[in-house]
Amino acid sequence: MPATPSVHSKASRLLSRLKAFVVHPLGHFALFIFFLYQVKEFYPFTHIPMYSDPESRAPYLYLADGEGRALGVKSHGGITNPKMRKMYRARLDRYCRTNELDKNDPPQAAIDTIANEVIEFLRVHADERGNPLPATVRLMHVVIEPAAAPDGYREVTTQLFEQRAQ
Amino acid sequence: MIIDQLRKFIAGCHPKPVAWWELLIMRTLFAYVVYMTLPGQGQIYDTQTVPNGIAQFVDLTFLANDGVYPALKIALVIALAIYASGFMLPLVLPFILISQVMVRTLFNSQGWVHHGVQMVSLALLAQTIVVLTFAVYRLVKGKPFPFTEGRTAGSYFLFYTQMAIVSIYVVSVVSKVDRSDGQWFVKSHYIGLHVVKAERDRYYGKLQPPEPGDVPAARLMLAHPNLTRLFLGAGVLLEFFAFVALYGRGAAALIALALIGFHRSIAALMSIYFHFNEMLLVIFLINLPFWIVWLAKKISKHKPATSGKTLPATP
Repeated sequence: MPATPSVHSKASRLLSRLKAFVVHPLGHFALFIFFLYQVKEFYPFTHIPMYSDPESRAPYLYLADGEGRALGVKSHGGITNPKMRKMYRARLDRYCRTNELDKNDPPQAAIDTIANEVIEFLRVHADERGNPLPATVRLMHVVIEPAAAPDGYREVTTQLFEQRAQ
Repeated sequence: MIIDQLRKFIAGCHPKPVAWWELLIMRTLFAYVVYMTLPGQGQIYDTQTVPNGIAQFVDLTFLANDGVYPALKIALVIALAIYASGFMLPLVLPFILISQVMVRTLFNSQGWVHHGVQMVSLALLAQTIVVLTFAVYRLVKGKPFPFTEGRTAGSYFLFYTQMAIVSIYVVSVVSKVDRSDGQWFVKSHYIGLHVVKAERDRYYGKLQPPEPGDVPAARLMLAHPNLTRLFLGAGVLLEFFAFVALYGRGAAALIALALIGFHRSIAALMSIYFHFNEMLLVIFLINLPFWIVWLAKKISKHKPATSGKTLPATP
């Protein structure tokens, strides 16, 4: 059977190459990259998703008082504006998943629940920091999208939610 | 020719000999960086509403209980001092790693994931795996690991720390390619919109002037998509080739300098800072103390030769 040794030798050559790959430091590196990408976000592991899929719209949030004047998120709640946005988005996604809702088009009731939760979080920490939020706080949503020259972009602002403290 | 160069590169990507004093300086500086990653008491939250990492299995809010975090911080300072000295690494490193990961995981379990500290934790993880591997080898075999070519445990300690550092950059390229379905370069000019977003985020954090207005850099990026693609593409290529730093000291220093430039340009454009990443690049890849000693040795070697020309050595 002349074919058998050839298959065997091919298999053993492949095995020895695989072994060489696994024991080589660059093999460790490649396997670690594969692992990081599979695990995604599981601290301390990350796949660094920021700006990995640049979209044609960039949404952001900000806080305002009852008159529509902006409030500093960091100054009051101690977290940055991007963290507030991520917190709102992650909690809304989670809420939609739990309640089997479309996270890309959540109902106003879901938005109200989560926006209220986020403002409450900020209110508690603002009190702790000695810089309380006013009685009425609005969560504003802005979308930046491409527009014709010379500006190149425009911002569309809507009010997501208004909380009136009791 | 290229195949030969590639073979040479692959053969060169191995741990290299490293001096004890280099490791001592690295550990001391890194201990300080690890301490800096610990948040203030006000950021030790008593909730984990969107649990991340081990918080999905363990309730980490006990860290917010009275006295727990301050006590942990004191224990960590002691552990970091022992770590810096280089003693009992198989004991102190797992403690430092677990404590730091717990604290940062709780911080990242509020609904946001902050990406500025993972590199520090991954470097700690790499170091822990290396020291535990050699400790277990010694325990099982009853003798130290037979190092060759002048390598020591420190060589592996440094090499795998460098690997953890550069992995962050390479995996970000994998994410760009996969998450955008290979369209990242085509879509990259839209980052101009995110430059505006970053500028607004900066303002609405503390309402610090200047007030929200025109963002010329974003306008330029959106008006010249091909130029933007070229500029941003260079950054992505740099991230992809970050693994070249594993080849040797010179490559590591050059790649690190380029990556620091990359971070600085992002900071200038978007006010997004990766201070800890930059610190690790300086400590473990640039390794300035080595180059100072290297240069001093070069100069001192050169001096007798020069003086020998004017003043002949006595027979």
